[in-house]
Amino acid sequence: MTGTGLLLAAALRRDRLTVVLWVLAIAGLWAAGVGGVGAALDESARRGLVALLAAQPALLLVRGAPAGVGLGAVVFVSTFAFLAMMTAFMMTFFAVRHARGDEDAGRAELVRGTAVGRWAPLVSTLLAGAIELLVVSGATFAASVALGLPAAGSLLLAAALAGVGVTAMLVGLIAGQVFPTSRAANGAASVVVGAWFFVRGIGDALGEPSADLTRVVSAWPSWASPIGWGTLAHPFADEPWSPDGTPLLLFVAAAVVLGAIVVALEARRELGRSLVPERPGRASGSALLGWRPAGWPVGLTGRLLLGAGIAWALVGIVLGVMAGRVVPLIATGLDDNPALRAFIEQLGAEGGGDTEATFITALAGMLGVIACAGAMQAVLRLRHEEQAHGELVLATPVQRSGWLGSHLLLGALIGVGTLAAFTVATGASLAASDAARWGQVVAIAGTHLPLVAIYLAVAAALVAFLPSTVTWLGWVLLIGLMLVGEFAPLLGDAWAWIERASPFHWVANPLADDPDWTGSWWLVAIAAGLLAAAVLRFRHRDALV
Amino acid sequence: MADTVVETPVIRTTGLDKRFGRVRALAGLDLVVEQGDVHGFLGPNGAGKSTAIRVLLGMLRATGGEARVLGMDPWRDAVAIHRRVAYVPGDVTLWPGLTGGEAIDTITRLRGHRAPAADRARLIRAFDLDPRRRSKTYSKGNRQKVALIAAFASEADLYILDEPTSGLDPLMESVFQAEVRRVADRGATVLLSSHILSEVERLCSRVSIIRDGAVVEAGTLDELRHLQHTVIAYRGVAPVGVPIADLVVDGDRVLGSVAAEDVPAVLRWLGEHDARGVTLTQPSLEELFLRHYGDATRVDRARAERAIGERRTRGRRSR
Repeated sequence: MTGTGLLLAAALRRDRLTVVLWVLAIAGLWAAGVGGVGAALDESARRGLVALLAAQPALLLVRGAPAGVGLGAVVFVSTFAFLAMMTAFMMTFFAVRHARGDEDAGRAELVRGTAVGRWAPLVSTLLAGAIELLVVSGATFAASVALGLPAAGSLLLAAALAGVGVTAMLVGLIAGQVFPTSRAANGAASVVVGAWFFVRGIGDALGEPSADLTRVVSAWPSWASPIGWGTLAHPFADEPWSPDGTPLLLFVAAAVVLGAIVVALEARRELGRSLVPERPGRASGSALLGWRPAGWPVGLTGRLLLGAGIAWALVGIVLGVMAGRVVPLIATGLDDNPALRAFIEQLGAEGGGDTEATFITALAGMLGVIACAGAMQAVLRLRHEEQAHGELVLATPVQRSGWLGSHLLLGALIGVGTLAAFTVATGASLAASDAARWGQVVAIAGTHLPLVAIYLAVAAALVAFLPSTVTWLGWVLLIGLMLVGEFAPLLGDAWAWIERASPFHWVANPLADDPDWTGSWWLVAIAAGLLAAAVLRFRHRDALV
Repeated sequence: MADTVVETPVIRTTGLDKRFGRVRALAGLDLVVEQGDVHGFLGPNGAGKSTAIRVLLGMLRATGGEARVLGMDPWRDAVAIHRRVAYVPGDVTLWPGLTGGEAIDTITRLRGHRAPAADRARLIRAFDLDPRRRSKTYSKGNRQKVALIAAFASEADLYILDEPTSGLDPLMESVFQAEVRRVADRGATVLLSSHILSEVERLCSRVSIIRDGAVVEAGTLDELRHLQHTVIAYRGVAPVGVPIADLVVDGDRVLGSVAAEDVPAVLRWLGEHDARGVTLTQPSLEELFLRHYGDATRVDRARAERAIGERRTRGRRSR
């Protein structure tokens, strides 16, 4: 354990800015939600909102199962799934950055060559993670109490976030031990966190609403997800329910099991090794690798992005199958509850689609973000490629614009492929899918294509104009604007302008009788302009080698 | 390439300038590399060697002056130039998921001027590389080998090698030298940036020494040596009326330096005055190099050490 204290101090110092940003995002979102809902909605408005939520499986999927109509309960059901997901990502990224990331970069070797005990790096990472998590959940607790919410509920909320965070950190550490690169480890851990969100979402969507539509009893899948455990604690529940910390004990059990796995793996693992063994590969490369039609290194770029592309498409297929399997269950549930059915059909008429279509649209909205993430990641990858391999690639007859073009092409393929995989999987797994339903599913997925174009262009512009800040700004623009779209309505009219600045606001509603495509065309036009500027700049700036 | 006119140099830069903000990395660089030469490119760390090479390859755009590579403009005609160039960067980073063999083929196929497969196999054997291992597991030397094999397995007209042997062991060093000679015999031009002076002395016909972004000395090794004084040491009387400079007299031991054209006259005088144990030492590339690094004391010490031996220098140092 020698050196643990020093390593701990170094880790905390390294993350000091990151922690501030996460506090702003997580505690800030909670505080903004409490303030906004408190100012904008009175008791009857909240009752209406919760009834809407309880009656609409699509909303239950995206937000969560309500447990009352008090201020805390309404903000909790609206934000907790996102707060928990952000906390989880904060901690998986933390774990991968400090463990596998350091080994990748060679820093771990440098550190372990000093007077540092075998377990010191792991212990200091765990401690630093715990401290950072304490800061984030403590700030959330403080903000919550300061805004007048009950202390007991605020404590349960903070504990739930901390529980999700610890579980996610351990998942991140295991991912780092299993996979050979930090990119693969981050990808795997993100899939796990995404699964937590969607498993809980299904559990809540299949939940049983109470007769007065003020609460929903989640179905069993919510118990299979750490994010669900937090929801099930109902920190701000009102009569006849009450806040209940028992589900949070599951976090203790998970931490013990995952922690034991981390320790067992670390005891056996040598520095830099992974559980996925390195096998000897091919002694020579296929002709495809060097394929560069018109100076576009499509072969090399395709090879580098192949794994990610398959992973994104699989996510699309899984979500599509999920949509196809869950939608009929919702329909059956509604058949048992004629009053609810009537209420929903009334809602559906306003929104312009039936429950099934609305549910698919909600899932597709999530998938649209995922497709944008896949597309953007493919283009942002060029920044890394330029820095790491630019000297090799740019000394060959590869065109600069072609290099960017190959990443844009692959990014577009990944974005469109993810949407297509979702569409096909949804349509094919819907038991009663007729031609009309197929057409509807295609239209729902198609509305997200302009978003993919926008984020391809944003990524290209970042690589071309702001190469030193590229990675984090891209994700802020994607996740931040997505959250703005989700939460701006809760914050009142003062924030309407920021919602209009988000591309998500301009996606067409495919379920409307006469969809308005103007916004979509504007998105495509802006994307084209941005792309042109990015290509010009990338051709004319110094290579960052 | 046989039809290329010999008068045009393969690389010619005139007053080449490159600024990064306030830092002036290249300050009027004049570099000429003739057809068929193996040209040594020497300079201390941070002198601008890599920056110059990146401008020549069109990765960076010059802020002033002119550069021609194979008769073309490196920024505008980068792709056309790259069709005839093979490059080994100073710091090789490979794609971690590709094997060494795949990386070699990727680079050579992207270049488009691959050597016959037999050459590739011969090079992999000679450099003793396991091409089936993932690049992630390669050491620095192995990564360097991949880039070198990819370069020599290309039939380029111009090879640009940026400190290519910094991670290689001495055995590989000789394989490398053989390969440079092979491509040079074929008529290709080589620009070799290096720190290893013995390597440059052995391989290069011409040398350019760069410091603070400008070439401070250029020519054949003989020409450069000619500019430098020969170190002379003997035992006997102190010189009177002969052109020996930097004189150090310690009892009957005499140390000094002589301009190249004065050597015969000095030798005649020494013969007439019964000098014993006369040694004349040609300046080594290292001394030329140190001279242009501006560290005159180190130059003098290096010369003195070689001329008079260890015992005396220990005495000088302790002074």
